[in-house]
Amino acid sequence: MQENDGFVDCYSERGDEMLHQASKSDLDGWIRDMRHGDRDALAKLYHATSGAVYGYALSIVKNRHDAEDVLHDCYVTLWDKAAEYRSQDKPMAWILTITRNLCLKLLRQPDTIPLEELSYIAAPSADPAEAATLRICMQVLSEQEREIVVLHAVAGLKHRQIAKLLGLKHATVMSKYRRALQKLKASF
Amino acid sequence: MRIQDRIYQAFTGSRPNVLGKVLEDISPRKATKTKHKKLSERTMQLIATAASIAILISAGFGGFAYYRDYFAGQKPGGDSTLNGTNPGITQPTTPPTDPNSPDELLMWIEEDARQIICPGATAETLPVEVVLDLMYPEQDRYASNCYVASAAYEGYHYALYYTQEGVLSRIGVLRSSDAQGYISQTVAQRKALLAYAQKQHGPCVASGSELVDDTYYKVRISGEYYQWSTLVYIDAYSGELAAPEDTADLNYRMDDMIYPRVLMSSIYMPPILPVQTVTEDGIEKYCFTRTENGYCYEFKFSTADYTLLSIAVLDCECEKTGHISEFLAGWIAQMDIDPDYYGRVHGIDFGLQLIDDSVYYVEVQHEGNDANYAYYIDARSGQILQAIEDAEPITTALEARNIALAANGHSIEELKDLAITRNGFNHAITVSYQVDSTRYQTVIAMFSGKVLSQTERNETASRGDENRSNVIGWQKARDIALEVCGRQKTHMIGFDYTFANDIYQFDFVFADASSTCRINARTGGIQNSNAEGNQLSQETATDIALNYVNLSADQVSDLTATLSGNTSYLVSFEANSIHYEITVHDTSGLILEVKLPITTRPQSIGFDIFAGYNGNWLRQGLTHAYDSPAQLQLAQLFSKGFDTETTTPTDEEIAYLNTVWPTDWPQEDLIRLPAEQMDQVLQQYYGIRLEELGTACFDGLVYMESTNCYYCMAGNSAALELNDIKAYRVETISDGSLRLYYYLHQRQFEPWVVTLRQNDREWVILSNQHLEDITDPNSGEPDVPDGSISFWGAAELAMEYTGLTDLEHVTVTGNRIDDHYVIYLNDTDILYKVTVKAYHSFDILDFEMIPLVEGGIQYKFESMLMDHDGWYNAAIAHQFASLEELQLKELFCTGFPGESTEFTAEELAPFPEEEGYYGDLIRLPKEKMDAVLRAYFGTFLSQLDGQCFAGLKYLESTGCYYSCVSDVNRPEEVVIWGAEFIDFELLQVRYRLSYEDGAPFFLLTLRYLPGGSWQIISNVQE
Repeated sequence: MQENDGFVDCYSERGDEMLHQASKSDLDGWIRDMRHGDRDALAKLYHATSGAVYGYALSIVKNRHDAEDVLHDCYVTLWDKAAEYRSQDKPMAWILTITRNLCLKLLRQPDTIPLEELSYIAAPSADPAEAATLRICMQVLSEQEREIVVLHAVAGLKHRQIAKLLGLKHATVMSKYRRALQKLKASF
Repeated sequence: MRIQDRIYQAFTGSRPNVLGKVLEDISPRKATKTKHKKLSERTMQLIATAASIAILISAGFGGFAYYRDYFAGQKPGGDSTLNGTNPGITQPTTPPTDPNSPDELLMWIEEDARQIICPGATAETLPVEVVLDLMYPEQDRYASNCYVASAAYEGYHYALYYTQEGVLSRIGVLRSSDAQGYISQTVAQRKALLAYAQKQHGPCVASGSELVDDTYYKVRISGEYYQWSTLVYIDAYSGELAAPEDTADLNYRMDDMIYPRVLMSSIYMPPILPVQTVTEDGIEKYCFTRTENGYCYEFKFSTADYTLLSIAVLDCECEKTGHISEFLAGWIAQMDIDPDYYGRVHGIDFGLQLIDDSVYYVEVQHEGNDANYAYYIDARSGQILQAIEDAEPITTALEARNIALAANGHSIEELKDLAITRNGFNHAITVSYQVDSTRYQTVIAMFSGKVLSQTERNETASRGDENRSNVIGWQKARDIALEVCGRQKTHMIGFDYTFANDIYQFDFVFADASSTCRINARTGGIQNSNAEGNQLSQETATDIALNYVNLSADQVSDLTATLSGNTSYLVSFEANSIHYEITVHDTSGLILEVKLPITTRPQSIGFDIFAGYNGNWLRQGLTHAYDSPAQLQLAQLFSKGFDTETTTPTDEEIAYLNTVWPTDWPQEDLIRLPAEQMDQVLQQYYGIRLEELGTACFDGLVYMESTNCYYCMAGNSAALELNDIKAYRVETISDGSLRLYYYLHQRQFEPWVVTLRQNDREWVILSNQHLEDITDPNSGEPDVPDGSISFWGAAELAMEYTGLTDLEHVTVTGNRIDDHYVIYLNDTDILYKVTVKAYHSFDILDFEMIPLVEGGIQYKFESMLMDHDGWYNAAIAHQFASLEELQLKELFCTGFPGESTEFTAEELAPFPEEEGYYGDLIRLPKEKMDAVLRAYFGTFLSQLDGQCFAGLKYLESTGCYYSCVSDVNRPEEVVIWGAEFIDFELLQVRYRLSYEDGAPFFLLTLRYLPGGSWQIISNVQE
């Protein structure tokens, strides 16, 4: 079976927003259009992928303000880098790589203040259950486990793709994912 | 809600919308300056620059200048508005409908203006053409600095370059036909394309053309992805399809017909075929020969309709088998599926097998629709003998077993020693079993279920010849060679295999010493070995060994050094209650092995050091992973707190903690951790001070200065029960510390390693890691020979094989048994038992797969056993260790539906009313009882002992048994706790009849039958 981006499968199940319509070729097409200054294409790409980008950023930077910054910077970067994009059937992996790099860049900055108060990660208006879930994810999971879980559950990447993105062995990702889920199950 | 959905919701639910800001902040695309190189004057000349379309029009192009407005996104037609949205560029997937059709798409230009590429075309532009550069263009070019429109005018075609602002910056022109009276090259190519399109050969492009003899164009047409190409001849004056020379025409047409069928290594350039016309049996045929893949082929086609008539393999030096190559057989099958699409049909997996030296069996999976096809192809002529569409794959090993049994005429009761393996590459399944002293091996095609081969052999005569390749594999051979030469894998510099006599040869170099070892690939025997270098003295070997563990001779006792074999010294000694055995290579001085034999391991290391519950700080060290004490997670380590500390918080603590936690934090869950006590524990058991730990170690803890205590909430890390720790190996490593390898039941048998060091008889934990995280290259999974896979590697393979790749639904359990893993994959739909060989050579892995329980094991058996109308529920109402102990009165205590008709006087006679029988009398027809026993127990009434009939009375005249039932005691509640295979087909289900603690466990043993049913074997209390 041909390995795909994983993105389509994930969101076709979720039916979230317009994600169910976004296929790998849609993403490719939008990025290609962005090269030519198509702002609509950027908007479409944003609507289709901002959930994954934000969720993944939040899992790394652990606070919503930084995640929001990364979300913003990510799409500005995507706009600027669209010309460099070469489709290898992995648009989502490309976007998430940019996201990750922005997060790591942010974390490397000396003036980044690690967030002490975990409740801060959730938006004030967030549903209490969402806030609790976020808190548990931040408390219970290690950095890498959290990244893996979010990449799978939020960004819809397959374990093999996550392994490639994070530079880990496939088996490592699978076992860490499973461990993480067990931890979460025990905590929820 | 699933955990994944909760996570998705939590991480994305309240995300901000920054799109507006992004759109504000993105910089307008700046038109970078084009490096205007001097262009070839022969093909392109700069004729004008202009500031607007008006200038363009006024320059005389008028209505001939078809341009497309990028900004307005409008179709060509003269609209010169330069505002709006860029419609983007798309590439047409169908050829143009007419050679003179107007612009539909735009050209674009590469940044340095060296290439103009036209994805669409005007009448005078090519579908794909490199105007200025002969380099083959990539399809993914784009214009980052200017936009290009194309125009046609009086035999010329133009490229119009616009800047982002809509300024016409320059115009290029390609001179084409130059009004010589014949059509332009462009139109010729378009004509050729259309000729091909009309022949329904799918998307294609013109990749070059040439005017020959001033009379016709020779145009090369290629598949859309350049997977094939051919020549088309176009009359230069009329534009019609031409055949200027017979041979050329023949070549063209032969290309046309051959390529779909004989696509071989020359993908990009077609061969110039010396084609002959021959007449055989009154039929005129085209004939040509070609050598590919080591075969000399002769192809014959009908001159009438180009049908492939035959393929013959010529007798030549390279191949004399007389049958076509596997490669060609595969292609013939693929081309038959969809010949019009050439290489776009990708058979991603071939199941190729030559049957009886005359017929190829070929399986192809269509990558587009995943449909499976099976073909039988004559191995000599290449003719398709039979094609099977939508071949259904065999999905279970049992199915394969049953096919093999049917093919050999055996029953399941006869066979023993069953082994079912999937042949890695060939998509075939090999079923091997023994009946009496004969071993039968049946190879079955996976998709069609066809029996490909059947072999039998006398097992007693050929025992030990199990390996299908009959060689030990290079890894085993290498291990033997390593042992013989006393080398490590990293010292191997050469490897060779001699097919003629099946010999592996390994070359090693270490320091100045080199050695070679030759191993018999079939027997593992040492053919010969040689090494260069001088043997070390005993003293030197001893020094090397002691130095390796950083000990001196006066620190050890019982020191001995003996030559082990003929290549190494075994140095053994005792130090700090540890018995060391170090093997030193006698020539190189290399440490070959450091081991701590299980038999002599100190008593102090083992499970007992992790005993106890609260207050065992070594045990608490197993709660999480860390590579060194500096990475300890204190919240995990101290998750159970100190016994001495009451957890009732003081008012001061509450006031303080209210400032850092939500005010409704559960006070009863508070854990107080005095810093001094923490420090003491850390020093004693982890060799580190509290102050040496980084901030990351304190995650989850809150410090209160006035009490000098840390605080956290009782977590879920939970100290592990002692009997959950299953240690399976202890070893010493180079610095003298010990590694204890263990599994934890709670962690699904993941292998972990805790590293300890003994300081003054107190154990200190240095790390607790997942086995896979150990970076020491010399450490592998214990007791597993090199080249074998880990448990999780095996589990991964099992999951891939069964298709259960989404771990969120799958529970993986299992264990290693000798040289294989037994892995249970339990997802919501099915329970698989997969046996994976732990050792593999080359790329072949063997699997056994038995889907056992549809519906999920817990759901399946709970619903099965709690069906109060079902016989499984009736069966577990009493205990029986075997069917001999079955109590029919208990089993059939509720009778059969429809048997409640009035009893006759004859039936009632044995049951006097005064004895209170009447109301509870049941009638049990013998046939119905037999049917139940046959279906659910695999037995008959006639096979049961008399004691099984206790409490029943038989009336011959009615053929029924009768019983008076005083109490019906069918289980109301069944709780499944697990299931385990105790044999190939026997499953033991562990259950309780109540959720209450202390309720006894029962074991129900069932036999799996083909078709998915289960026979009851026994039901006993555990």
